[in-house]
This record gives sequence, C-alpha cells and structure tokens, in this order.
Amino acid sequence: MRNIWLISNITVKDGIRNRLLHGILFIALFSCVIYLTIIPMFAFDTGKVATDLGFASMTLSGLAVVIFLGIGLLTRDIHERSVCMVISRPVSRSQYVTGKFLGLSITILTAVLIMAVLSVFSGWIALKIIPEMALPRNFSWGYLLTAVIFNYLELLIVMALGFLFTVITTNAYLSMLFTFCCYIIGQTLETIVKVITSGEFVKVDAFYIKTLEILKWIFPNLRAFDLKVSVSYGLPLSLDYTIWTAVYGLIYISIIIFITTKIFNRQEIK
Amino acid sequence: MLISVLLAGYFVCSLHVFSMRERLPAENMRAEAMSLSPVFLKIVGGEFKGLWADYLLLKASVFIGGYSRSIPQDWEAVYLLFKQSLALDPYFFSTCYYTQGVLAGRESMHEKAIELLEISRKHRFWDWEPGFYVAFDYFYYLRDNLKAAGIMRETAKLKGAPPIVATLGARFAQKSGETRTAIAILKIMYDRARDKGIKARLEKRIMAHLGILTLEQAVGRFTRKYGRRPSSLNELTEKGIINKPPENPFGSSFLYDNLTGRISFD
Repeated sequence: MRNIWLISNITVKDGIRNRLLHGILFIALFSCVIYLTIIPMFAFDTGKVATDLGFASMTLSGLAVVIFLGIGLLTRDIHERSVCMVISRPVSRSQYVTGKFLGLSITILTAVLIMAVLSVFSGWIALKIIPEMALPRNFSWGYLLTAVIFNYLELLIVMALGFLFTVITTNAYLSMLFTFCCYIIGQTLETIVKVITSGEFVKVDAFYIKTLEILKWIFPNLRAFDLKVSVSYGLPLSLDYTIWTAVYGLIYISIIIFITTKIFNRQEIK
Repeated sequence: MLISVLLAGYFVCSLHVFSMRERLPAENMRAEAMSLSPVFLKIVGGEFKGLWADYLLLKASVFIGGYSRSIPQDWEAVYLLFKQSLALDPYFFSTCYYTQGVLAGRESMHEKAIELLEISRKHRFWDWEPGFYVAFDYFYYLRDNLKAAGIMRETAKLKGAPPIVATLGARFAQKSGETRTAIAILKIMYDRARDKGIKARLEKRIMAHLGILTLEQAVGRFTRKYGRRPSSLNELTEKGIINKPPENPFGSSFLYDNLTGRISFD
C-alpha cells in the first residue's frame, strides 16, 4: 500500500510539473470569457447553454490529460526504462500500475475541479451581469455535483483503457488512437444499438445485431455517465440509477486495471 | 527588419480583408444546413450533443437576424437546422420558440413547424408553451379547430398554464370569433416574447389582424345592409361603410375572397 501511495505521489508531482495542467488552467480562464460572450446570444435556456459549455470544457480538458499526459507519462517511463528502476526495487509491477493510475486519477481530478470551479464561477458572474442569464430549471447543487463526479468517472474509464493499450502496444501514438476509438465507441454504441434494433431507419442481419449486443458488454457505455440533461432541465435522477452506474464504472475500471497488471507482469521490458 | 515588414504587411492586409467583408451585401447571406440525418447526428453527437444543438440554433439565428431577402431554400435550411438541433436536444426551448416565431407563419412551413413543435411538446412535459403554439398553428394556419381545441385543452391541464389557455380551447371548439381569438393569442405571445425581432414581427401581425377584424366587421355590416357580400374591399369605402381601409403592415392592401368572405394580409 505504501509503495502504491509513493508511486502515485511521484506521478502527481510529475503531472503538476508538466505544462499541460498550466495550459488547462489557462484554457479554463479563457473559457470563462467565452461563456460571458456566448450566453447573451441565447434568449432562453441560458442555464442549459452554460451547463453545456462548462461540461464540454471539463470533458475536453480531462481527455487532454488522459490522452496526452496519462498515456504520454506511461509510454515515456517504458521507453526511457525508468520503469526498470522502479520495479528493480521491492515494488511489484501491479503496485507500479496501480500507483501510476492513482496518481493520474488525482491529476485528472485536479483538472476537472479547476474547470468545474471556474465554470461555476463564470455562471455566477453571468447571473450578475447578463440579464438573460437564468439558473437551469429546478437547479440542484446535488445534481451538479453528481454530474461532475460521473464526468470524472467517465474520464477514469478512458484512462484505464489508455493504460491497457499503452501496456499492450508500448507505443504512444497507437495507444492514443485506440483509446480515442474506444471513447468514440463508448459514446455512440448505445445509440447505434437502439437505432438498429428499432428497425425504423435501417434493416440489418440478426447476426450483426447480435455482434453489437456482445460489443455492448465489452466496450464501456460512456453515455450512461452523461447527466447533463438532468442538470440542464431539472429532470429527475433516480438514486438507483446513480448507484448502479457508479458501481458499474468502478468495477469496469477495476477489471481493466487487473487485465493491465496481468499483461504488464508477463511483459519483457528490454 | 523582416519581422517588421511581415507585421506591417499583415496589418495592412487584415484591414483590407476586414473592410471588404464588412461591405459584402446582405443579399449574399443564405441559410446553410448540412444534409445530415438527425439520427446520424444523435449517434455522433456523443456527450457534446447539447453544445452542438446550441451551435445549430445559433447558425439559424445568424441568418434570421441578418437576412434582407430570402428564397424558399433558405427556410428549408432553417427548418433542417431546427430539426437537427431538436434531434440533439429535444428539450431546448429556444429552438421551439424560434420555430414558432419565424417558421410557423411561413406559407408551406406550417406542417413542418408543427412537426418540430410536437417534439418540444413531447419532451418538455412541464411546459405549456409548446402545446400552446401547436394549438395556435392548427387553429390559425391549418384551420383545424377540433385538433386545436383538443391540444389546447390538454395544455391547459399543465401546471403553470395561464387560465386563458382553457378559455381559448373552448373558443376554438366553438369555431367562432377566429380573428378575435387569434389577436388574443398573439397578444399573449407578444407579452411573453423577449427577442426584439420576434416582438416586432408579432406587433406587425397584431396590427394586421386588427385591420382584418375591422374589415370583417365592415363586411358584416355591408352584408346585413345589402343582402350580399361586397365584390371587393373598395366597395366598402364606396358605399360609405368605412371611411378609409386600414393599412396592411405587410405592404400591399388586404386580400379579399368575395366567394368565401375570407380576408387575409398575405
């Protein structure tokens, strides 16, 4: 446990030293200005527009941390053999992977919190200075916090997949490509399956439908973590749904990290 | 030395380009929409579909706010943009509002506007306004009083619906006082409108309907006096029923069908 904590600590410091986080802070501040320019263009549902902008910037900065920082750090460790220095000490490979994942999770959390706090702050300023600005219908801090947490969980899932592909390919470009593809599949698969099984717009083979149903179990359903509509329009969010989806996300992350450590344990690092 | 020349050149070119683009005639402004199926957009929108819906609405709004002359293809493009926006975010009220404000009143766009408003009405289950707009469009543009009355009655049951909604439902069912009813509805829409452009359009429509009401009353008086409908609106002034015909805020004089007695402004 101590080793895991030590590695995650080093990873967090590495992440903070990296200029990407500074870039994210700059983008967050720049986004505040953008919100205040865009929101007055809408006469209605300005709260929803502010929510869309806030979560979009959170997701984009989170994905930037996962894809460029997360995958980048791990592939750099493998290519520069600095991972050999760590695992030559009494630190197991699984402790290394877990520690690295935990460290990067904290880094992503920092990025998400920066974006979330600045987005809320921009919304507050907008309420004061823009006449058209209004809170979303039935606005609830609880819903907003839940949506932010789920956004963070979604990013952790993507990062876990990034780790898996990095360990398999040991190539930063390939790992980023596969991770991004999984992100796209995770976002679109649920809708594709719904459209195809409804048969309204396209008719396909039963075999193709079966294949998609199987893929649904392999790829993460990232759409389930998108709670923006509940925040924007005050639509009810059931506790059951929240708990089950959160547990689904955590178990999926655990499975991917478990597979990653198994593969990494068998890998020869030359 | 080189960087100064480049910067100076950039400054001069930018000034020219910006001023040339400002002088581009507004007639060149056309509405554009990519012919992407709303289903496809829902698939690829991912978690950015809300933002994309906002962008599509803004794109339509830029044309609506800036055009000086339009062609039918422009309004087809606006319809497609609204449809795409609603496919990505069916709860978005702004799209519903602009559909009613700029699309519903256009000839050949009535059914399409209703199609879009029904999406809002289905998803915004807490909001009486989409149902109100749908009922008005059925009543006024499609002359389907029965359908309008049914929708208005359902809308009246929603929490927050003003009492007049129920009254209007009853009036639609009576199939009478159409112009007065239309004026009452337009005044509600005018009071609720926040966009200056939409408010100006509604004010024109209210003036036009008030003109129609004056002429309908005059035609009624003429019919009672002479036992027949006037052959044209000019006959009303010739026979001294009215001193001067009301002005049509939409340009030319009011249109009159002497076979049905129907008066319209466009």
